[in-house]
This record gives sequence, C-alpha cells and structure tokens, in this order.
Amino acid sequence: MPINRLIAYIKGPGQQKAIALAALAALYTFFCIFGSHFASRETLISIFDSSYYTGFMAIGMTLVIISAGIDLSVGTVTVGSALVGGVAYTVWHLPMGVALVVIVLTGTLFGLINGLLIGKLDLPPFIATLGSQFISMGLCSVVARVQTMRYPSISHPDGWFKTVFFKTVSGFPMGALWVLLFFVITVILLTYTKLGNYTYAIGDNEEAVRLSGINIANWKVVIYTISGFFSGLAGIIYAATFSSITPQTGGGLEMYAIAACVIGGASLAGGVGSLTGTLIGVLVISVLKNGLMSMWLPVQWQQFFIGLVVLAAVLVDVIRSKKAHNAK
Amino acid sequence: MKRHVTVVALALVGMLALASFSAQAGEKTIIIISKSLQNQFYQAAFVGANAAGKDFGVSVVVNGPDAESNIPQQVEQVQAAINQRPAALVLAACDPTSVQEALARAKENKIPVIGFDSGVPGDTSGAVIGTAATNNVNAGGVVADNLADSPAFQAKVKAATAANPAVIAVLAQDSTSGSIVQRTDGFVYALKKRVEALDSSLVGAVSIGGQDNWSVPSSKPATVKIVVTVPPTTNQADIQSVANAMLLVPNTVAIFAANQDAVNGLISSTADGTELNRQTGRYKDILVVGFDAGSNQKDAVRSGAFFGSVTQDPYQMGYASIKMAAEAADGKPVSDIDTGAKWYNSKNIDNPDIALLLYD
Repeated sequence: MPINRLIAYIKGPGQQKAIALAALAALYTFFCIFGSHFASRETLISIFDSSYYTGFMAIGMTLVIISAGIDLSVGTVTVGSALVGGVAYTVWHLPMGVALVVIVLTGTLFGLINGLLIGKLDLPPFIATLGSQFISMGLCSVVARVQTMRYPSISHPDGWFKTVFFKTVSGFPMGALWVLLFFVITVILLTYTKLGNYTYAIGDNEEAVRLSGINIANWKVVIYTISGFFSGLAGIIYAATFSSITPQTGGGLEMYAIAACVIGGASLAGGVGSLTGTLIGVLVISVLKNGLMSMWLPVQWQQFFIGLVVLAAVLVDVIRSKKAHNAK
Repeated sequence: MKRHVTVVALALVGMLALASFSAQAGEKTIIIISKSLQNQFYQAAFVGANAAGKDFGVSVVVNGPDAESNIPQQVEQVQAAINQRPAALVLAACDPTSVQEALARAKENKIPVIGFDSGVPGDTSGAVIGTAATNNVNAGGVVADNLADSPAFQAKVKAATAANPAVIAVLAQDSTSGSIVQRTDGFVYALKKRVEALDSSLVGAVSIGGQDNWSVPSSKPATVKIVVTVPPTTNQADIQSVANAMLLVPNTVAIFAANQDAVNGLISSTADGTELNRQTGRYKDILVVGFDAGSNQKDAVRSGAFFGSVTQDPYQMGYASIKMAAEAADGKPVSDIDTGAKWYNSKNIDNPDIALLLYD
C-alpha cells in the first residue's frame, strides 16, 4: 500500500520535511485569512519572485551544510557577481549574454577559491568563507569603482534576460522553472552520484571517509565550487529582479539561505539535509516576508519571525532526535 | 513540552492577528514608503502623513527599508504594497530605476502614485502623477530674505565702498546636484534683489560671480559682491579648505553654506564653530547661514555661532503627499506641491514645531 508507505515515510525519515510542509501550508492559510489581498495570483507571483535568488543560494548551501561545512560568502558573492556582470555590460560594453556568463564565472571563481582554501589548505569553512565574504564584497566594489551598476529595463532590447530568467511580460514566473530545473539536476547529483555519496559521508564522518582512502580535499573543492556556481546563478536572478546593484551590499543574504536549509531539516553538524526540505524552507521564508508585509508589519518583524521559525525548526528537530534516541 | 509549544504558538498567532486588525481600521488605505524607515527626517514626514490621514479620513500605513542603500528591500516593499491594492501609494524611491517595473504594475492596476521628498525622478512608468517636495529655488530665497532682514547685514552692505566691497560668500558643495544648484540660484538672485532694494545707491552695484554658472556683472563698480565657490571635489577635506579660504577674504559679511556637508566643512574650519562665537570669536562679525540640520549645525545655531539656517519641511512633505494621494484616490486631478522651507535660529530652534523638523 503506497499510503502506508507514505505514512511510514512521514513518521520516519521524512518527518522534518512533512513538518516544514505543514508549516508552509499553515502560514500560507494564515496570511490568506489575516493578510490584506494575500490570496491573489499577484501575491503568489511575488512570493515566487522573492524566492529565486535565495533558492539558488540555498541549493548550493545545502550541499555545503550536508558536508558539515558553511558558506558565509554566498550573499556578497551573489551581489558581487551581479555587480561584475554589470561592469561587463555597461563599462566593457560586452553583449548581455556574455555579461551573464561573466556573472556565473565570477560566482564559480569565488567558490573555487573557497574550495581551495578549505580543501587544500585545511582552513575551517567558517573562517575561510568569512574572509571571502569580505574579499568578494570589497573586490567586486573595486571592479565597479564603487558605482551602482544598472541593468537594462524589460522594455530595452537587452532586457531579454529578464523575460528568460525572471518573469515574462505577461507575468509568467520563468525563474521558478530555472530553480526547478537546477533543483532536479542537483537532486540527481546528490542521490545517484559519487559526489552525493561522498558529500553525505564527509558530513557524517570525515575521518572514516579519509581512512577509506578517498581524496576529501578534491571533493571539498568540488562542493564549494558548486556553491559558488549557484551564487552566480543567484546573481543573474538578483540582477533581473532588482536592476540596480549597489556596491558593498549583499552581506546578510547568506543568512536567509542558511535559515532555509535549517528550516528544511539540514543539520549544521553535517550528514543530514535534503534539497526538497531546503526548497520548502525557501518558500516558508518568502511566504513570511510577503505575508508580514501584507499585514503592514515593517521589516523588523520579518526578521523577528524568520528567527522564530528557524528556532522552531531546530527545536522540532531536537525533540524528534531525542525521541528517536529514547526509542532505541 | 508539547503543551508549551502549543501555547507559545497560539500566543504568537494572536499577536499577529491583533496587529493586523489594529492596522486595518479605516476604509481607504494609503501606503507611504520612504527611503529609510528609521531616519529622523522621514519620521517627521510620517508624523505629517498620519496627521493628514486623520484629517482626510484615510488610513495611512508607513514603511521603508532599513537603510537608503537597501534598494532590494524597498523594491520588495513596493511590490508587496501594490499587491495589496491600496487606494494610492506615496513613495520616495531609493533608486528610481529599480522600482520602474513595479510602478508599471501600479499604473496597470490604476493605483495612483505620489512622490514625496526626492520622489521618483525620471519616472517612465507614468504611474507617478505628482510630487510633494521642497522647491529649492524658493528655499534659497528664504535664506536670502532672512539674511537681508538683519540690521547688522544691512548696515555693513550700505557702508561698503567700491574700494572695499562687502563680500557674501556661497559655499556650494557641487555644481551638478540639482537641489544644491537650485538652492544657490534661489539664494544669489533673491539676495541681489533684496540688497538693491535697500538703498538707491546700491542699484546696479551688486555683482554675482565666482563660477561660470553664476555670473552677473554689476552695471557700475561693485560695492557688494556675491561670490559662489565650488570645491574641486565633494571630499570633506576639500570643502574645508575652501571654507578656510572664504573666511580669510577681507570684508566678508556673510557666508551661506548650501547643504549639510558644506555646513560641516565650515564648522570644522572654525575650530568647531568656536571662532564664530559672537563675543570672542575670531570671525565674530561674519554672519553664517546654513541649510538642512544635523547635530553640529543645530549646536552652531543654538549657540548663536550661526545666524540661522533653513530646513526643509518633512512634516509638510508627509502631510501634503497624503492629501494629494487621498485626492487622487477620489479621482481628482493633482499637481505638484512645494512643501516649503522654514527659517530657524537660536530663538526658535527649540520650539516644538521647529524641533520636529530638525534631524541630528
């Protein structure tokens, strides 16, 4: 019976995801009742709109967190690569397509640097990516000569990338398709490849993996480079969403990505986490953001409630693992 | 444990529900979004906006990003605001370009948008139908009028000769920023007119110079010279060295510092304003007039080191923009409003209606 199997899954390994999904549904319903004009197609699109760049950052972050690492640089790398892409387009006069490649390459490059620092030089991830957070914020601002970079509007011929990566003129959420595509690719990577196995294994017990003769350093380089690549993708969506990129910003965005992972059931101790959970976490944050705005509550309350949700997620996890422990 | 979690969850839900109900009283809602929520200038605008909300029977919701540089946050707020179908939206855009696509949706949905303060310059969406802001030319004129009313100023100007002309120096931070150029325009032309009206001997004896943008020669040998100086860059060090040079020009009667940075430069080059002390200061005879506010400037005005300053009127910006928005929501035509500028000196700086407008 598939239903029995589903129940078993919800009670067992899928519990955290099921709780996150229930919380998402509850929040959405709550805001539909109490928010103003929340239950509308436009609000739903706004919820999607504000989840793409966090979504891409969070997909990369999930891999990093499963491997028991952390990537504090994704926020500034996302904005920084969008800034460098803006320089490529407006200052170097490269075609928009090339500028988009520059964005992704910039993100990937920072990821590679993180990977080398952590994998090859054995720096703790927290410190290495804290350093690259500042470096990316500073360096990309230098490249942009501390000028705000502006991407063309949707009506400009070069604004095509917005309709392709963000939203069509009629309002179809194209960004959702791209997030979904890369979500599926990453799920396949994580489930069916060596990369996935080693990512979980490194997070679970790095020493054991090392003793079995696997080159951990190389795999860490790959994991952080992937995270950087996703920051680059987030950079494209960020540019499409906001058009104007201000130098020296982006610090703090990584916290939303980390929060999404944690809400989705990833453990910062490593070895545990799923992309489906992360995606639910991203949506929980977006619903909260838009919902609280629809209740006229200022930004400070968003931060307050996102904090509460993160704590609640961890609390649920702790209670659950205690129970599991007692059952043994 | 479980029961505790449930209780806490229920309490939170209750809090949220309460917050939403208390905010939604009133029939028509107008959302006002500033460039930054906490900034004192905008707080004063919100006080005005709420007062207008009461007067015109609309409920006013205020919002804004946590900093002027947080463009993404403001874009999301504008989008969320439009989703809520307010009767009108009032906006001071952090970055006019990035809100264009959201404003296009406001236009589609027939939500009128009113600009306030810096508004939405260069709006191409067509959603912005009016702006409540300071007319900087008039504001510069207010500075000139108050200076020209001073008996000390009048006496010195009348006593000046062509051999030893009276100098009125203007420190304009740059010659490209719209608001500073307009303020300087307003000041120099209004002052020339007022000085020439003081005495028949002064007609045609006032020259304006120092910069190509501001150059009006006198028709007879000048006894009063209005000199505009623009520092080479907007760095504080450059502003300060220009201020130093101005103070040393013989027979300088008055100095107008046209914005807060210029004011701060002038204060730094006079030993934090002590050299402007009316009794003991090295430059006690120079009348200094400023613009905007800020804690240094407020101290200088309160102590009398500055003759006085002019502040924009954020309260009026908030009030007038909500008034315009309420009218637009009723389908009435609206036009731009000059929200005016207020003169303040050591006598009125602590009056409640002035103190509200002066940010630190």
